[in-house]
Amino acid sequence: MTLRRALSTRRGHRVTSQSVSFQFDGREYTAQAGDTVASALLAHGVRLFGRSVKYRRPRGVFAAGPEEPNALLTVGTQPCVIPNVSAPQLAITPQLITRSQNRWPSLRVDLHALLQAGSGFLGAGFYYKTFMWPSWRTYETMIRHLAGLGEAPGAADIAPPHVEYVSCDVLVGGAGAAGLAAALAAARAGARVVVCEREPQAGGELEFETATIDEQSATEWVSSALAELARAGARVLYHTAIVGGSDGLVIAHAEPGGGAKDNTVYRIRPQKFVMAMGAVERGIAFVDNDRPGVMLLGAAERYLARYGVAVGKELVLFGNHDRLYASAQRLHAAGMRIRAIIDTRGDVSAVTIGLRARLTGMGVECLGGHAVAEVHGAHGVRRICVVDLQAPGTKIFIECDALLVSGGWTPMLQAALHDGGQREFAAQAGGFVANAQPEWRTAVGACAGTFELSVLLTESFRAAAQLSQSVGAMGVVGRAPVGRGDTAPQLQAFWRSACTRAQEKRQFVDLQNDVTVADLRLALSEGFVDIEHIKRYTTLGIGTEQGRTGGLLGAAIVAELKGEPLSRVGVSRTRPPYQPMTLSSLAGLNQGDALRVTRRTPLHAWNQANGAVFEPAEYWLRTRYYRANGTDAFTAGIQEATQVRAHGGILDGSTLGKIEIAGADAAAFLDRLYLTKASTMKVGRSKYMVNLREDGMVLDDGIVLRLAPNRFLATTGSGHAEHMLSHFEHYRALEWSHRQVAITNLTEAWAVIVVAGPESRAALIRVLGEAWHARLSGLTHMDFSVSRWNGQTLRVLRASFSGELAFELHCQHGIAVPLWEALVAAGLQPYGLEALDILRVEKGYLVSSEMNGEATPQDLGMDGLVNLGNECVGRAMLGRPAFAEPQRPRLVGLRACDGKSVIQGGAQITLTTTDTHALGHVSSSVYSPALGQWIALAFVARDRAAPGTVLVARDPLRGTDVDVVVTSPVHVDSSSERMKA
Amino acid sequence: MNTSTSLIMEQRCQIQSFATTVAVEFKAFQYPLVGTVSAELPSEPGAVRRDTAGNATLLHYGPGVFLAPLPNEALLHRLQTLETAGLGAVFDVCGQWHQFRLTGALSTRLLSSGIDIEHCVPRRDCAAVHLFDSPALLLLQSTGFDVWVPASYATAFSATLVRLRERLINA
Repeated sequence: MTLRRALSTRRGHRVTSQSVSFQFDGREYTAQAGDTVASALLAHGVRLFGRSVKYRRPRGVFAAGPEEPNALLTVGTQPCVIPNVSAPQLAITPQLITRSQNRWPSLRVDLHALLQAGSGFLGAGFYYKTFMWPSWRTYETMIRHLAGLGEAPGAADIAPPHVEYVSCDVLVGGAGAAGLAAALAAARAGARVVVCEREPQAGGELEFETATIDEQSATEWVSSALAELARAGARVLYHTAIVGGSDGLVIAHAEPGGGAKDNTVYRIRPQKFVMAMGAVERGIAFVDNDRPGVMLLGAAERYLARYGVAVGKELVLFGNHDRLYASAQRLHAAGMRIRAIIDTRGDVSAVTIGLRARLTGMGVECLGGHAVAEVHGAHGVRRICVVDLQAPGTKIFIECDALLVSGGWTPMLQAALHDGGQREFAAQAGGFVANAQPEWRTAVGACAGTFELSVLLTESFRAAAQLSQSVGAMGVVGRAPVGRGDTAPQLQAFWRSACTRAQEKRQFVDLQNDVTVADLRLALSEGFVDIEHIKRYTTLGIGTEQGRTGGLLGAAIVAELKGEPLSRVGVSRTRPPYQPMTLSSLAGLNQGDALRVTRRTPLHAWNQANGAVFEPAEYWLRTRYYRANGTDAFTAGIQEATQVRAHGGILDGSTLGKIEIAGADAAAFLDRLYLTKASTMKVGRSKYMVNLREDGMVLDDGIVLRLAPNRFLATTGSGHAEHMLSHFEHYRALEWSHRQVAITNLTEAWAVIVVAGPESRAALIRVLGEAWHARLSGLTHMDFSVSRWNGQTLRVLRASFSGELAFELHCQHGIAVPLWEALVAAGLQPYGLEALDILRVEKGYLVSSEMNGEATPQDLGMDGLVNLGNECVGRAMLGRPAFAEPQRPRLVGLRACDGKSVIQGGAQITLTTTDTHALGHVSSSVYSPALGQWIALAFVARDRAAPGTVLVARDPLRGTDVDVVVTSPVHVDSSSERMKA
Repeated sequence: MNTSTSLIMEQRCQIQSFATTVAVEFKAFQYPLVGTVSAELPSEPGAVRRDTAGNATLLHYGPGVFLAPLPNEALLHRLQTLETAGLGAVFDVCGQWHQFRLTGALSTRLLSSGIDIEHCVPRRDCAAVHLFDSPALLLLQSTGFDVWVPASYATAFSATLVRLRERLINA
């Protein structure tokens, strides 16, 4: 591979003489340290950077910042690539590999460019009208291959971003002249200041504008301003762009650079926000205005000032304001050859006439009242066609290799339009500026439509001083900086050159999305008249460029086509992020191993060391089964459940929610929150209890223990403790705030070991010792006893979720593992959730599949509890007529009629195999080792829920229909003899 | 000090981890605090009472909610007296919380990865927050911060602290 070397060392304020190399489309190039890929390739004379998204037209660099619509590159190699990186912003690092996009097989020869021949079929909204017969799927593969920008990475190899929360008094977005003036005022006032600047250096337009500020050159003033800010403790963040925010929060994103390796996302909460993000230069629409070599005027100045790159040898400038002449003088002074200046304005000021005369004297042809009509040259500008606006038939051809266009500047309003911010049309700015803003936010400088240096310095300084005072920073700020620079632009709006209807297909408005004037006209003719509809129908303003260079241009052309003022048409709203960010940056810290927080029980380490296979349950990691008991969940679950029924087993139930309620009014409080009364319980007893929502649906269930006369422990579903705590606190705060009730979450304070099975009591007695013998022997169902084991508190509750004789051991952390290990040594095998599910479905016990937020207690067969008549939250709604309708589902058990078919969870219950009307669905389904067949819990319409009814469980996804018979939900131990042994 | 397991000793940011073996919470029945409770306990939101050695003995981290990490007999007795007087309830929360201590120059930056530290503290000495997806109690110390998280989150929280610390040091 040949290394392409630049001819000479360039001088620019961002580059050094140190050499660095990189790859573009398989070729190696040299660059200077500080170069971007765009500047380096331009220095090598490369003009072709990519192909357009739809028509695959050759494209070159158009801009010098994130507004670049064409030169989007893929960085890296598969599977770890980053697509759509803006070449003007891509700093060259050692071994950098880049590729152009949207071309095959190569950039120079792209066979997909044949699409241009069919451009008539590819206008706005073509996908709604074409590629329909015989089916869209006939074309889907081809379209997916051709469509889109860039290629997605095959793997993620991007480090998560850093994230930093920042507070400050005054946030300044942008470190150009207006931003620095504002920051100085705020810092002098004593405010805590943060400045975000998306470029690696401060200065903005002062980079190349001929200006003096406070008797210093622009460069000197920027340096002294930064030094003063540093002394005042202000924080200036480079490579950091404001990308979004809401509700008083501002999000900024910093690319790697300046020594930093990774992205950083700043979440900034300022008291005041000064928006000084400037304005973006925009183009003008003319025929073939997308050719390589057509570039924004300001971009050319930046490439020269920053990187010492001349974007062409023979330049022509085209625009509609006075800055053309200031720019021309600077470019000429830098040794660039300017063939002509095309100014659309006919009537201009005497000053402008004088500027023209001076430049004409330098050999520059100045054509006022003219416009560029067309560009010639397929892979690069060769010549342009210029017309006299007063005499359009008159054509002048000028040979050139770079056409620098400036149609004005569009204030960067994205951040100003959220949280209720408004915009208004400002004729002098030729566009929209920020209008009414929330009191904590203000726009200054070009962002507010002020372009003259002397004016924006004063306005920004005063605005920031005022904002600082409003937050209590009352220091003396002194006078505003006094500056002299480029005069006000005297812009006269000009949006597009005249052409034929056919030529409108080659007048590009939005370069990134290949949107032309013809597309806008088509959209209007088809009834899309609102700018937001036009955006979506034509794709004007979408993509990474977000309408920066083409949004206002497109809106203005729409206004012309409609015959309406631009102020009425408006522009579409941009969405955050205002600059592209990787999805990794958006995800923040929550990715990879840190995707979700996990919660662990005190027994987690033991389980992990002993072959537990975990599954997430809410944030908890719970044991699903143990590898020693089977190679998969199904096999191990059956083994473990069988073991429990035959002998016994232990389960880590520490995830059980535990809420303690205390106070003289605790009992009365719980009476109001549960379907049955807690106040009737004796101390030392527990009760199974159910909570309702206000609408009568079952919210949760659990066991409530009465620990003391005024103290209760309520257990909740695993992972449900926080929700129930919130539910309790809601009522405590709203309805019981003057009563003696306090609530706290003790879920982590107690480990829970469930000991279940016919041998559970005997094993417990062996492990806990003689001191517990009498207690355990006398413990009846739902009793509990508290004492100590190995020096720590142990509570033993006799309760069962398995239908077997069972105990819940609530113990402090210090004894959890020793107790567990002792029980294992005593012959009890650990079991997991898979087995638990089998056991509880066999017994007809409920989990969230049944308590799904749509079931009343009567639906779940809790009529007995309802009939006890306790007044509680939600009870009043149980009497609604709909709850008694015959079609309302009720919980039942199901078994396969043939005794062997699989009943799928989620299967729909119907009358026949051809019936599509569902009477209910299967909520839980397991293979029952106790019964030797599949069993289920299901909801079935009450009028079909009689035991013995034969129905069909239909699973259209898997294509199975199983005849099932309705049974009691309690499949095993219906008399509870085993449980109450 | 409770059982101490020092994870990483590094000058720029030390992370120490302690499983709390003794702790109680007191929850006042009424808020705003009135009467004896207001007089005897740190009543301002986020207020912290410390002993002569600077150790936090009582954290007012929620409306009428106080955490007493490692309470002495006198404090326990006082809280139980308040409970007997019908002014609140004492809960034994031993094992509920896991404590971390962050010291060193990077500790503020580390926590700023998850929360606006300058906003939470030092306007108050303690705050109940959500930090790295975990409920947390944050306590401002003279040399850094103490953070309590529910014990079940401790492993994940510790891993996050260590990971962030390494990234910040290597940034």
